[in-house]
Amino acid sequence: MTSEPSELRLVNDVDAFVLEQLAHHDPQVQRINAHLAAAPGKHIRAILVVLGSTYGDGTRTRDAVAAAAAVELLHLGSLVHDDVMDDADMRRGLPAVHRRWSVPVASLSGGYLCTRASSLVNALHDDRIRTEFGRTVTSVCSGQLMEIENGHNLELTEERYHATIERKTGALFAFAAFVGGAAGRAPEARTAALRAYGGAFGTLFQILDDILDVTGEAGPATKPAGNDLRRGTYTLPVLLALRAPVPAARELRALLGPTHHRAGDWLQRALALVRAAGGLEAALSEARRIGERAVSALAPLPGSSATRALRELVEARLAQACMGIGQP
Amino acid sequence: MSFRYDVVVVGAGPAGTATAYHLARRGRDVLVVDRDVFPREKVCGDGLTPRAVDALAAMGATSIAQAPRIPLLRIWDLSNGSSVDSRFERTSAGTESAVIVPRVVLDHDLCQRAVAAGATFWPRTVVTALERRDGGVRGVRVLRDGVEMLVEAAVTVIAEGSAGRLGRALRGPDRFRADVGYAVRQYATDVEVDECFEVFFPLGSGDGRVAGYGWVFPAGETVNVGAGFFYGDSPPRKINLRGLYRDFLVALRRHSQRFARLVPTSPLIGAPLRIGLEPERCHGDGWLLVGDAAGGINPFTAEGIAYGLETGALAANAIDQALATDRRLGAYAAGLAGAYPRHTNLRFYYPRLFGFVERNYEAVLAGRLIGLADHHRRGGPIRPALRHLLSDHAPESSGLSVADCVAAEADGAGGFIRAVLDGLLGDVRAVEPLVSEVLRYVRTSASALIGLPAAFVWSMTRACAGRDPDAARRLAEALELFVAAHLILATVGPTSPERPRRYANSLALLWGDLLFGQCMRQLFTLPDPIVGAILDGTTATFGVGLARACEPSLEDGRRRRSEVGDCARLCAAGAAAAASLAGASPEVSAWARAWGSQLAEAHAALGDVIAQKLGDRALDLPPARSFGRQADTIFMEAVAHARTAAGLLALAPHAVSDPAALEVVTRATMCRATRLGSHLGAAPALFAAGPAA
Repeated sequence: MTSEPSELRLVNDVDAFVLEQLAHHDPQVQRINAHLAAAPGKHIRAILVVLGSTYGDGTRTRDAVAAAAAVELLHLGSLVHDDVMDDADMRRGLPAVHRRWSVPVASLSGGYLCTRASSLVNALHDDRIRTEFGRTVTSVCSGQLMEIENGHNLELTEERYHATIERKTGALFAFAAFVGGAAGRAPEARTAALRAYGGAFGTLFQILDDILDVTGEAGPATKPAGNDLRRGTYTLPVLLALRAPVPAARELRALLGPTHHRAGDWLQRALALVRAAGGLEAALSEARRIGERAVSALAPLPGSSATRALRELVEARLAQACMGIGQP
Repeated sequence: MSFRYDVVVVGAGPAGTATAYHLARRGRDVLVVDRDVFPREKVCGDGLTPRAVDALAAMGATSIAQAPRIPLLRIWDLSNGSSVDSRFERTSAGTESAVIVPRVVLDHDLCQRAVAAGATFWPRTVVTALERRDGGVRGVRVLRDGVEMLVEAAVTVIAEGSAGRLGRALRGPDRFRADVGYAVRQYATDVEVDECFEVFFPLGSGDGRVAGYGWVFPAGETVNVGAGFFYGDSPPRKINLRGLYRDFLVALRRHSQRFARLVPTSPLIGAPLRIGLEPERCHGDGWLLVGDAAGGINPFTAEGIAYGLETGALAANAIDQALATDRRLGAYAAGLAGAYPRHTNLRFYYPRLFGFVERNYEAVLAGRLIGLADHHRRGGPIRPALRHLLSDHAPESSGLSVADCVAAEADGAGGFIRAVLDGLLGDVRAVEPLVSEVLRYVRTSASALIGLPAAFVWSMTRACAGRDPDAARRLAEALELFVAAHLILATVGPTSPERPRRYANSLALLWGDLLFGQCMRQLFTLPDPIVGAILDGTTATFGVGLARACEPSLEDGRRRRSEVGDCARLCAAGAAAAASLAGASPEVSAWARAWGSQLAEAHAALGDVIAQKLGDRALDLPPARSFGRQADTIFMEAVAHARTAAGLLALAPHAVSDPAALEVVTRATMCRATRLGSHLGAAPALFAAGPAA
């Protein structure tokens, strides 16, 4: 990025704020919370909140930090639960809560984090935000349910896949961008634009994540290649590969699905077939289309450094995926 | 030639003979006609579930007496050879085992029971037409030994199975293709079987996979082997059941040495299956449909005998009543709707549920789903709720739940709690139907605090003359949603390599989160000070639970109470919030919290006693679960808390305009303690002195 908006420094305050929120009188609970706060993530959602907050009157920086903390807490709570479902060992370089403590602790800890997030949102005293937050939590959960219900489903349609990720990932991104604007007292037209941008960017973010899951270049901090495929979660590159009119698609179909006996290097073979059938390129061009949608959603916003930063987020993410696929 | 009977029953299968038996026992003049001579064969798995066993015992059937008891259902995944065992849902009479009786024996036995009770039976009698007069059915025309006869009857019962044309003529054509399926079966020998029902998934392979299963049931010297499917919501296609069955036999032989030498000993015979029981389409002027003819088949397992026997008994009740009064048969529809309240919904979930389990082969399909929490050491609502969902039967109330006891004190309060819980189910259904079905079962829990927040909101709103009933309802719904979410999240169990429980835990987490989300959605429609107070309560609830979960050693030793009790603080916060919402002063609100806290602690303690001494079916908790203290100590604590609450009532601030509503909820707590005391056989002397003022 060329010149970062100065407001981005607020993101640095978010971690401290989160830690403050998680202080607990019980030493056991405090230890769990400290463990969770010890390894902050990439703050992509907090960045959206902070950038969103620049479109208001500029007087509410404390609210923007609180809103960003709420979004990060909700995200953290969902990660703690996700790790149980994925049976993941590590999160952000530290043992996952269910490994370090136990599954029951992870279950309640996730609930605790979401509750803290709700308290922060409530304390913003803004009915628009409160209503939107309730809707967001339900959306995220129903998206995850849709995903698990469609496990191993070779007939999963692209529409259904999009509906799933729009809820699972898009909803929280949309809320993040929106709540930044709303907490900063931005006018309705701008918060609506931010929400539309956030939803599209979140969807794009997820598709690119799905692409990187196939290429295995998501970096050492995340999961090994093919994690989704192994769990029977068929993402866009896989679905598009299955639809391709090529022999690799038929072979892939035969390899996946519930009656298949898992043996040997089936996963590596399946990943290679997704590539061979052109699933990655097809998913990338779909991601580009959604990226254009995200950028055009920014049209009602003034041409500030924040708007430029939001546009660059899309481009940076697309560039990362291109590198993953080995495209210029 | 013509004859007159009170009732003529067409078809002498379980549904027809059950109807005839129960009517004859009541002194009604009943004729049963069937085109066959008995004993005769019938396409069926021959398996009788515990529910069917109970219904047969009620008819004094002798054929079940000697039949071996089958305690287990073993579900195999043919794609990887793994299996999971599941138990049958225990009936209210305590029956836990299924039995196998070949239909050739069972139907003959039932026919004899009906005749012994006083019914007349005409075998080899074909119905040629319904006798329609004055817009109704007044009997049937039959061909008996080649002679045409008219049988006049006040009520004609159609029990001709799923394929019959009389039933179709009366109820109209099937509306949904998804409601139709087919099954085939034959007998075979040279098979080694265990004493369990063995069920096999998936049926068909690749694109030819269908929503159905194959089975092998032990039947004395032989086995009953079969396969059946429903069309479900799969895309329209022709399904060759015989081919499917042949492939199933091939897969079976390959699956295990036990089946390698399987030799069929009878021809393969088939029959259609019809689900889609619609109570209002099962009766009319002078006629009723029972059993398969009514669509009375479990939409998931295709079990039909229990339905046949049960619908027969319901029909007999309705007919007996109608004959004594105005001859209207509407009571039958009400009876069916009461007995199978979810059938209509269930058949829509069925393809969805089936699709889900079918694709998740790691879940060993249906079995893992049904038995998914079988390994839940700490108990949890999901397994019993799902098993119950699949059983397609109305859940039973223990009479010990908070809601039951409050309703016993005041109809108004009971009505409010019901409305709140029903509304909540409706809202959840719109998002995730399966979760709402799980909740419907969970709400019958005897030990949980479900219903208490709504009771508090009802009483506080009245006591403080609140003027916004809609806001009160939303508050109550949000609180109840949280209690349910916490209940589900708190039962997520520890895992180990042998018991990964991935699906049990994943579903519990997702469902718990979803309910939490719904809770936030409702909560955030309320003013922020109210919400802030509630969120402090939810934070405390999770905090207490977390602190305990960190020390698993406390689990069975020094542990002070169950997860249920964690919500007590939230309930107390709810009482205070309800007072604030009704416009009460901070002083009243603080008092409401103190009063609510005592009652919530009392109910939490009673819940622990229930869980420890009686167990909780809805949460899958067996009795004898220890909380580190003796049940009578906990019980005494509950009584002490309830007495303190009663004492606080006398100290209510003057601003409380109508304390009567608060007395209702306070009394209901004593009522719950008394009911529990009598359940346990404890001396009611404990309460003889009444609450100390």
